[in-house]
Formats: sequence, C-alpha cells, structure tokens
Amino acid sequence: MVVQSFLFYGFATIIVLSALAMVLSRNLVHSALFMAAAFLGMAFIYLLLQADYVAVVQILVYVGAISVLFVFGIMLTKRARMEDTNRFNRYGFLAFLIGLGLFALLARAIVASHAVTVTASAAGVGPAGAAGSESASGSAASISGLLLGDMALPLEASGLILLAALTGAIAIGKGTRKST
Amino acid sequence: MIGLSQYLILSALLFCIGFIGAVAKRNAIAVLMGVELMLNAVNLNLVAFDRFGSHAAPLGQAFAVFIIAVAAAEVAVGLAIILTLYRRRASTTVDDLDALKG
Repeated sequence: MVVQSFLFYGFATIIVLSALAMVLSRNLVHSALFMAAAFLGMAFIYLLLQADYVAVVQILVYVGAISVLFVFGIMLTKRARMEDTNRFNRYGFLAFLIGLGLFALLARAIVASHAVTVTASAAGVGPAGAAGSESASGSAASISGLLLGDMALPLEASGLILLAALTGAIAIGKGTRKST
Repeated sequence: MIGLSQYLILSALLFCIGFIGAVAKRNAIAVLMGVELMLNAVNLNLVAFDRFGSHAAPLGQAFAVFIIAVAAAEVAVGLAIILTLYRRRASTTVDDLDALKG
C-alpha cells in the first residue's frame, strides 16, 4: 500500500507538471512533447488501477499515434520561428480564473462525497466486496469478452466512425488542393 | 491509502488544465491538445470508477476504449481541417478563423 501511494503521487506529480508545462510552454513543439509525457504517465496510472488493456491502448494510441500526428501537424504548418508560436490569447487570465474556479468546485464536490464512498466500501459494496473477481477484470480476455459480446454493435459503430474519420480526413486534406 | 477520491481529484485537475489550454490558447493545434487532455481526464474517471465500483464486468474500461477510438478519429479530422486552413490562409491562429462571422 505504501509503494502504491508512492507510485501514485509520483506519477500524478509527473502528469500534472507535464500538463501544466504543455499549457504554459510558448514553443508548440515543447507543448507536444510534454503532452506525450502526460499521456505516458496516464498509462502508468491505468496500470495502478489494474486496467492493463487500457494502459496498453493508451500507450499505443495516445503516445504512439496521436502525439506523432500532432508533431506532423506542427511540422506541416511551419513558420519562421518556432519560439512564441504558442501564446495565450486575450482571454488567458479569465480562462485561468474559470479553470481554477472549476477545479475548486469539483474538488469540493469530490471531498464532500468522500465520506459516502468510504462508508459504501466499508459496508462491502465497494472494492472490498468484489475482491474475488477483481484480479482479472482488467485483462484483455475479460474486456474482449465484453466488447465482442454485449457491446458488439457499439464496437462496429466505432469502427464505422474510424472509417468515416479516415475518409473525411483524406477528403478534407485533398479537396482544396484540387480546387485551387 | 489511495482511494477513489485521489484519482478523481487528479482527473479534475487534468480536466481544468486541459480546459485552460483549450480556451486560452491562440494556436488551433494547442486548442486541440487541450481537448485531448480533457478527454484523457474523462478516461481516468471512467477507469477509476470501474476499479472502485462493485460491477464485475469491466464496463468502465470498455467505455474508455470507445472514447480513445473517438478521440483518435477527432484528432485525425481536426488536424486535417487545421492543415487545410493553414494552406488557405497561412495561419493557424484561432482568431483568424472568422469566415463564418456575420
């Protein structure tokens, strides 16, 4: 338990610092790299939550594909100087105020509901009650059983979304070049 | 002891940081990055509730996988739009994209 909380706070610190650096960095390339670091830290948090499959998918899709896609997007929209490409707009201060207020509100709600969840788990409703089936709940086998069983139709729909996004991205990317 | 609240607080913090990035940035690619961070925070919420809930089947993790798929599609289309706009206007600044303004 001590090791687990040590790992959690370590990775949480890395993630939050990377996310802050991503937002505050003035260089867009640095922002993309910090975003990849935050995504990688999230994968380790998923491992702490015993969600092995989601952690692997996170590394494959977010760190592997989406970050590279962002870097390609940055490279293809090149400008003369890479510094100062990632400034705040005129609503920066207001956005910080709203973001802090939103976090205060959410944290207040989470802390206020903490007592409820603690009593629920003490009564055997929470993780203590389901401890027997929990060891394998994050494995690829149980998730694939769910995805290809009860959720087969949503899975096919998400495949259709990916196909539509693929063709849409190609159409948007090619269309203007043909018309000019 | 790390409980549900710690994961939810981390998720809320990431969501707010992503919100600031999505609202306050001048570059359209940076706005997209902020949206990605917000989606990731939602995923963390789903997986944490799945871990600490009493349901036997990993429903929350399945939802997280769907969100990851939709986020990948969103980034592909979003970056294609940004690249097209850059080709037409030589700018990725959000304030310049006012073609629909009346």
